[in-house]
Amino acid sequence: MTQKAKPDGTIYEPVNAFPVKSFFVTMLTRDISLPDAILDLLDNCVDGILRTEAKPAASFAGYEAKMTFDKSHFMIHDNCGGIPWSLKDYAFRMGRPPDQPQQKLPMVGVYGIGMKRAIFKMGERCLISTQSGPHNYEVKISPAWIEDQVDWSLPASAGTSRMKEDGTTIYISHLNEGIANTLGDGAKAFHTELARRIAEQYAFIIAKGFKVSINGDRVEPRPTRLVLTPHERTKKAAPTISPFIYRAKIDGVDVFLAIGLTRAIPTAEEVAAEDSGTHVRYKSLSAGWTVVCNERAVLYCDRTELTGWGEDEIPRYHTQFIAISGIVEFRSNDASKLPTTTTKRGIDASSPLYLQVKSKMREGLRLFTAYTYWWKGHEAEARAMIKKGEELTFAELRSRAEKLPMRKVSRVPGGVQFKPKLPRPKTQESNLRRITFERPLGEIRAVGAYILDDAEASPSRIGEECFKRALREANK
Amino acid sequence: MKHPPYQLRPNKAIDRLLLVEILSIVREKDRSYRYYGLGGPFLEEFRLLSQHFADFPMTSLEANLQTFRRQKFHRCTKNLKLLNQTLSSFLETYTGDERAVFWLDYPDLHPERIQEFQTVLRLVGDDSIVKITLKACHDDLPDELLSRVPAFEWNVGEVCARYLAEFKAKYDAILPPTVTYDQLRRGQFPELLQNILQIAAQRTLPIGCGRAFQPLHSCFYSDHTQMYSLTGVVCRDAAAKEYQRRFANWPVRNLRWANPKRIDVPVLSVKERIFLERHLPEKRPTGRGLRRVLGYNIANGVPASQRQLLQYATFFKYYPYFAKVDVV
Repeated sequence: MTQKAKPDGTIYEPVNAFPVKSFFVTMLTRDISLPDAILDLLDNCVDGILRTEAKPAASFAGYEAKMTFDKSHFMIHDNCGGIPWSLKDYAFRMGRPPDQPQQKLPMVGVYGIGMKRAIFKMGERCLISTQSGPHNYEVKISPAWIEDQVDWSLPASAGTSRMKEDGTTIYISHLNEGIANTLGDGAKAFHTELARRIAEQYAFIIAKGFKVSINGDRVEPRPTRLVLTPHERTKKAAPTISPFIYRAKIDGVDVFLAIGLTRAIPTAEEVAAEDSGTHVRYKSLSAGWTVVCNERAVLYCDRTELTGWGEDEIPRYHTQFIAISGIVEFRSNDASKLPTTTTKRGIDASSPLYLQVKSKMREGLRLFTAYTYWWKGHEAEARAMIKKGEELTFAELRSRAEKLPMRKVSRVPGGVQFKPKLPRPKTQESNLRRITFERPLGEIRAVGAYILDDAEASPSRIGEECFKRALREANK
Repeated sequence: MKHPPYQLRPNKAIDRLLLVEILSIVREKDRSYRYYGLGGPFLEEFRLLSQHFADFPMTSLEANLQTFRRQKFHRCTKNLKLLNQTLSSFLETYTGDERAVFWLDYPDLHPERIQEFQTVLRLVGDDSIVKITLKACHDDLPDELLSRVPAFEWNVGEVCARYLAEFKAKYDAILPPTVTYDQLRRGQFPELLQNILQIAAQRTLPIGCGRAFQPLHSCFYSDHTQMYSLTGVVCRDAAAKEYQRRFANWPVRNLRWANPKRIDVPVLSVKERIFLERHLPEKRPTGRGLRRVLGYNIANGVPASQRQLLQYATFFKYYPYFAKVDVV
């Protein structure tokens, strides 16, 4: 409502709160990294499969997403069903329209921003070609459209040719300077990083048959495998190395949690090398928690307080716990119920659902961190036990869990869990004692060269050899 | 402590002389460089560098006390400072406030070596030259070892897959996304190693940080063990083009991470070399012309001889003469 003019002639009119495009183009894109933006595009491919299958897909075989990039373009092409014309508002508007019905499918898109944000992150010109059943159309974004602050409608036209299969191609050019450099001169390192992220975060979907390639290279999944030693159904269960498993349905979200061992506990030497900082690690660790929401990992091998490490009497992550790894899966047909952040690459730590499940995550951590303490000093024995076990993927564990003696969890209706009775060493008190002392590096090298003819030998090997020699002398 | 006879390695000698050429080009504009190397007992490259650049300050880093003492014996110039120290402990206090030349000349290949390469890239001042040499072959590829065992019951494919998995786990974060077992073989491994170093360099100096590692030259050779060598310059982004321009006419340049060049010069007598040099340099060397004037094969068959003579035509300028002398 326009008000009367004040004495100085100012007229207080309704103020303009209409959004400006630069907010979406330059500001919103700052909140997301380039790999995350590309993963958003990949999320759309997977959501497309779920729409096509119209039910939670047991297999993703036959579906694929191909990415190519160089210093002048980025392209992603999929055969995942395309964008139905009826979903154009959700797909192309900045944010989900309020009248857009939520689809009852385990998708991850909630806010209707991912694709646009990814495009603006990368470049100024984009052609989106899509085919979904009878609908085959193209939508263009141009620098002129981005500059125009008034016109928000995107030009759409009929597709120039039919595609072999329903799907979508997004071709982005006029790349922003930093992006062109990353996808051009820096492509080798970026390609490696992107492939690793996809292999980790899409491990479940790729394992179910979805194919992803980057510049022609197929991405292989990196599933976490937990050890399960043979378990027998007896009244008094014999101790076995088996994951702690928890399953529940909370507020329409299916929860499945498994935590266990991926390998034998580390030797004292391994821990010492890691602690000294001299240990080189290009190897990725599988220790920590991976949180999966509707089949996509939103957190990978986290070892912080966010996943329960270092809080409520659980020790902080340390190399001693390198063998402990856990996975929590949240699955819901209503993506807004999932405990993810808006970028879908993180956990909403204040979500009541997540807090409830986190207490189970800590319970599992407590069990397995205690196991590593019991077996300290008995590493060889512990290693032998692990060798007898099978390494199971998460999917294999889910089906194996059906046969495990699950027990009801009192506080969560419908919640069940399997808490393994982990083996303990026969003699709790090891008769082994650690000898630890520090000497200057030069002296260690000199002794190494003298007794092993190897100045570069590890300090523990040199120390052990010295001890053996002294013991031989003492026993003479 | 075993040291290879560095002085009798013609291909390695060529690699050393190529570094001298690179330094000649970069020092045209600025002579304020200091050289850091891991020279071994005979300080071979230090001697060479002091012959070419008399005013070149140099530092040798040697961890082994006995080798260090031997180095003292072989010290060739006043400009050479000898330190009984490992590279990693030296780097702990290195400030990088100078133009430096680092040659990380390793006899082997470990993840630690690549991490040291990354540390050097991170620490050195702008316009510093960094060269790394690594072992570029696997002596223990299971299928090659097992092929020598007549009745071996193992599943060779499985053993090879495990070997590849172990290799991939060791270098995971700096590996190209697709690595196959065949890439570990002698013929393909230098290329894979270069990709690993490229990724390592790009991770240390990522796009947008303002500095880059601009490659200048890469090669692989085998005197006994196959080695790979990469030389580049750490410079501001804007200066990379200037380095590309300065090296544009250098015949053995590698400015775009192209596949490394093989150095495999043939064994020739002094008489043969003097004879061939009458016909060199060639505008477009192919090895055919030299084979024709020589009139006989120096390897098994004409194509192999031509290949070797092409190597000679490419690198003859850098091929050292080894001669027997009496020291009186």
